[in-house]
Amino acid sequence: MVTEAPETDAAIITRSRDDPRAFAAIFDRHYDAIHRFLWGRIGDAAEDVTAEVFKVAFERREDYDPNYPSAKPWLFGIASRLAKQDLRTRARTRELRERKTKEPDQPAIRGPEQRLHELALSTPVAGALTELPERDRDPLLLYVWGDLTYEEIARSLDLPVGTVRSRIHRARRVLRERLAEGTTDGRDDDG
Amino acid sequence: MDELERLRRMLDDAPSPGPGRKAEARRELLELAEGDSAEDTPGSVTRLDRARGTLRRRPTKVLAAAAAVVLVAGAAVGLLGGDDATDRLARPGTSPTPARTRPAPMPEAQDPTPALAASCTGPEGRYEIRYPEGWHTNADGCELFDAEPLDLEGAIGGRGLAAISVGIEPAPFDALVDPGDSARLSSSEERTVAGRPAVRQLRVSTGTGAAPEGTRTYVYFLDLGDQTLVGSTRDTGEPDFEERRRLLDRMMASLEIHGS
Repeated sequence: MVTEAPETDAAIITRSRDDPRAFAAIFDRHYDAIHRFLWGRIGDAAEDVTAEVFKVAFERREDYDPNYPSAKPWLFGIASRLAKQDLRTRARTRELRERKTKEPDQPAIRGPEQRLHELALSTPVAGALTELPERDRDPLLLYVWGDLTYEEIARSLDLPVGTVRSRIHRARRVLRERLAEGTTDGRDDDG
Repeated sequence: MDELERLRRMLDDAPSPGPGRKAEARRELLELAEGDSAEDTPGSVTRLDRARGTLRRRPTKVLAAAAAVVLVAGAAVGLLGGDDATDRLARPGTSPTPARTRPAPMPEAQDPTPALAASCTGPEGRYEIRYPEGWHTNADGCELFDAEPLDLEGAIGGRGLAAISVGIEPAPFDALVDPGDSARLSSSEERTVAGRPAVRQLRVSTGTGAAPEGTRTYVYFLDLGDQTLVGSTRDTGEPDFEERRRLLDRMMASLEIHGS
């Protein structure tokens, strides 16, 4: 029995330019992966922002380059940007609220670090992640949580592949060093 | 276990997407798609109007920019009223800070709207938004949008007359979402737009502001911290208000915010 190869994301997106409802197939294929990635990045707001990812993608489908069969890098790029905006906005909102109510100050934890700080309460590796600069952390998380290749990450973040490689390499080295320090100090090791 | 495996395990506790919210998200996406699909329906209003080069007939001009001014002025009255006004609940029945609740959705109009094939960048590159191909926008601002060339005469503040307006107001979100005495809220729901907290409202003018009593305005407020992005369209008494509401929904869905 001959089975047809499944239609590529690029083919579906191209088709959706004339048949917009076809774009729902992109949603069905990638929603869970995007949601999982965003849960790691922003926590409970992941459902709302995941929905936004696909709305933005739908409205920008005319811009999609059909030479790339998989839409994953494109979708994860949108998700990364929306996640950063969401974290910064909520950090600012929290800051404004604390200023208004004059609540006792917590250490100012802002933006992407806030989510990782929450996770760091139980996972030392997340604590190590907070020490990474954003430019190194983003490609690393796309690699590990998004399961993208270096080339796909490069497309997603609009960076040269070589830059992606060096940033992930540097991020991994820092993580290893921090985790080794944590083990040496007798801290909990989730290994 | 190496550091990558430890990172992967951080997502072990990731919950599966809630089936209700996932289904709702899919439905919202299909509603956007329905708007695009309808433009290709033979005999649809949009096809006919595009053939004539206009979205709809317009015997009278609309001061959409004035509507935005009314919205801001109405909120400013509340702001100038002192701490009591600003500390009032920003949205009736809710806390001053938008919470991620899920209110009953506003009925979505199933109107035909054109594809958003054009895009522009707002002042200082603060935002990017898509709009219908063939429509006009003010060349220096990406703030006013209309199927017809914009008329810049006789408008408040020198702005043009447009079916849809988008702009960044130098006022905080909480101050603007409360319409004060200038309008009552027919509906109000919290949304997330471009990853930001937002509120979408249907307001009805009370006649105490610039707009005649009973005038409906469909408006988005997007929290940008010390500033607020406002997107709106106003009912001018013509039959295309629902169509413009639908279009504004889709334009706001295409919005990208740049910078902090």
